[in-house]
Amino acid sequence: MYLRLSANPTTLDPALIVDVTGGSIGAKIFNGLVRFDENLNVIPDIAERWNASKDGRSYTFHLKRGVRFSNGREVRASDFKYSFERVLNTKTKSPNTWVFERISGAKAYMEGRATDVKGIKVVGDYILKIHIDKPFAPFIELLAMISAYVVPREVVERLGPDFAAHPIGTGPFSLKQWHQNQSLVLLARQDYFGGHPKIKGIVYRIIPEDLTAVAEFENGNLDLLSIPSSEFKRYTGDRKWKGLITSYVAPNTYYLGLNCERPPFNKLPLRRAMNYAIDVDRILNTIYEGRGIRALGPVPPQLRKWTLSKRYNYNPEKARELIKEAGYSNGLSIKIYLTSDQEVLDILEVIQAYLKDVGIKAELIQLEWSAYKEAINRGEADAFYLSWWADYPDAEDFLYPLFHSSNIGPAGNRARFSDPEVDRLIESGQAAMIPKDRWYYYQKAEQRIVDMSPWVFFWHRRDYVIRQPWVKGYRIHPIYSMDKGMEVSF
Amino acid sequence: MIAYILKRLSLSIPLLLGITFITFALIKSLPGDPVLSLVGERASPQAMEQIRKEIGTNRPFIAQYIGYLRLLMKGQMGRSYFTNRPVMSDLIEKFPNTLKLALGAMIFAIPIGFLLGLTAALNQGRWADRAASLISIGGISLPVFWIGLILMSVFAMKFRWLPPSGTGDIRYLILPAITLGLPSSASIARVARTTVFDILGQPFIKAVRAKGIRESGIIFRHVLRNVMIPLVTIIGLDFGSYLNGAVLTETIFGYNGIGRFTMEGIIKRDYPVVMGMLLFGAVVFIVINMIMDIIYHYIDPRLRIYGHNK
Repeated sequence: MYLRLSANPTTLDPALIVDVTGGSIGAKIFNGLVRFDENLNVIPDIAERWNASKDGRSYTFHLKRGVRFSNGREVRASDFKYSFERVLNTKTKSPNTWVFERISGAKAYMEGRATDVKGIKVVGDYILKIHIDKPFAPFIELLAMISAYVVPREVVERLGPDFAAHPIGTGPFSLKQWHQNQSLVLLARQDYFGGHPKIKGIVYRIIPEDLTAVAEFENGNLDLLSIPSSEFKRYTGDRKWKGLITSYVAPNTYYLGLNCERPPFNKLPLRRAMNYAIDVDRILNTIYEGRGIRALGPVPPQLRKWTLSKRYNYNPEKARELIKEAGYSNGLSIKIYLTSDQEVLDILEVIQAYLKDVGIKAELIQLEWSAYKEAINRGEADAFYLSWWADYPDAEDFLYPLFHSSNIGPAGNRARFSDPEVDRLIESGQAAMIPKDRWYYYQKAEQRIVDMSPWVFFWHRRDYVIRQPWVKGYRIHPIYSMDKGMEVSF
Repeated sequence: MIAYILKRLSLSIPLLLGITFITFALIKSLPGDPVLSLVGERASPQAMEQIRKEIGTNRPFIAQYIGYLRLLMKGQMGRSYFTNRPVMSDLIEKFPNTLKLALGAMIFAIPIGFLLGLTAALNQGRWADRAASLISIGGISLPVFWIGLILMSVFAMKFRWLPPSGTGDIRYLILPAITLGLPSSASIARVARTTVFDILGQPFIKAVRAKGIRESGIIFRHVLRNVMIPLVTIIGLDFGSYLNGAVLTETIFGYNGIGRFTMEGIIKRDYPVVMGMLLFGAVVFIVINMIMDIIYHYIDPRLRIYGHNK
């Protein structure tokens, strides 16, 4: 099967992967203790079963027997201990240490005060126990993440940094060849513990330019293609292709972050005014061509098990009133930061016009990605356009990193929002082991966030994938970086 | 000759040292931080600090620079922050592709440009001249990505003679080579036209004609030799820049050359990659300049750069 990647995956070492590209390939080469099914439930992967203690602080995993790395060696519980500690080891330079930071003794190990992580215990060849400091409801979901995949110690130690380009895992596919910036070939394994993939292998071709990828697809050289936005109208309007398009709203939220830490957006009425001043529905249905659903709050609808009582509707009159209330009756000017992406610029220019209409003069500052990220991490922007994609499919992932005051800056809370009430609600939710209780706190937290308006809430983007007529059994995995590629066939 | 080459090369060492310093300073003064691209969207400041420490970007500028020079002294270019691969091995893997593309572009550009220019000069003012000028103006002013996409849609999508993109055998090379070579052929044509025209107006051509030598003899023996000098200059410069990668062409055709590699390095602030590639680019230009000087030596005795030709 031939697929397109728009960029060369930087690394295939699970400890280092942060991009979707690397993640989607990593999912095919590696496995963790658990994984997500298509309904976003946690299901067994290498772990056959597990149980959590009543206090929510310790987990026991029973591993399947006969799970083998592609070098033939069987996976033992000690491999997981090694793999998790490796992520935490500062020498690994992993950006994903936060995944395991909650395990007892992780901090001591990271700071070099311990030779191993006390909270990860190998009880037997096939039993692993993990102990965490405080009860944390989404913990089991963290273990489904890429950084929690198991790697074979002997290979990692032999290859050192070259493991990133020559990964060995337990997954349904193994890496055969990787020409950097050109192509990457995976072969289906015959001895995969989860059955045989229906395809022989996957060839990823690295094609940076969208139009080129379209040409390759139409020549039949690609089996699947994520539809570039410039081609969206053409494909969805074409009878020939219409029936071959699959779409799915992945857990994501697009927003305009407002810097709550300093004037002018430290004033609540002004933040609310921003939400009233912009006709989001209209933008979504015109420039965005309806490729998404309206966001009412930060949490994507498939992860929200509750309803929100308050929502913003376009109301410029109200916006003007609120601006007056905030003390800016003579108008004000703000700087909105954005990346140098044409689609983003188109959207922001419309927003600029809406804001002008209520007396806010918005200056658009386009920066190249790296400079942009640095600027917004530091809180240089009054407002900025950004999106958040789920690390794991849980509402918590859209609340804690983005709005908890301990995460201000690069950890996710770039609106620099700080509210003791929201902090408390999120923490209570994290500690609540019964789902209903958890949702109660999350609902309250989300409701308060909408009310405090540190963002202008935009939309949840819908993705479209087009396939050739001969591709069968294809479905977009809700977290597509977690698709194992087992169902698709010709 | 060998003594001359050695002398030139030894002179290039301080030059390269200067280049490393300036590029290092420039890269470091850019806003942006490689660690931000490394850590993704969710990272604790402690983890970022730790990574800075591991890759050494927390050290003072001079210490970093000296560290880099030490590495170069050992004949290494370091490893990419992102892929963890040695920059040298990526360069060795990609450079042959870039070389092929640059040669392909020149094989297309030189004869076409030269013929166009010559035809125009010999038919000055007539329709052939106008047509040639039109083609060369088009070649210079049409944007590369536009030409690339047009070529792709005609030859790859409509007729399906050639693959739309990729890196591989000669079929993959044709479209990118034409795309890349077109502007170069246009500038060669323009220079060739003016030079040929100038030379034809020189008194010595009148003298040669007066001797009764045939027109074709004049062109081949007297005109062409003189046209070579400016042509070698622009061909050398274009070739040198192609060897440094052709970002647009490589991007459109998904061609695996060093241009895209360098560009991605710049975007992510992958300092080892950027430094390595800029340094390599400087070496390429130094070598190309030297080769050009040697060629001048053979085609024009006035430009002899060392001793006398024996």
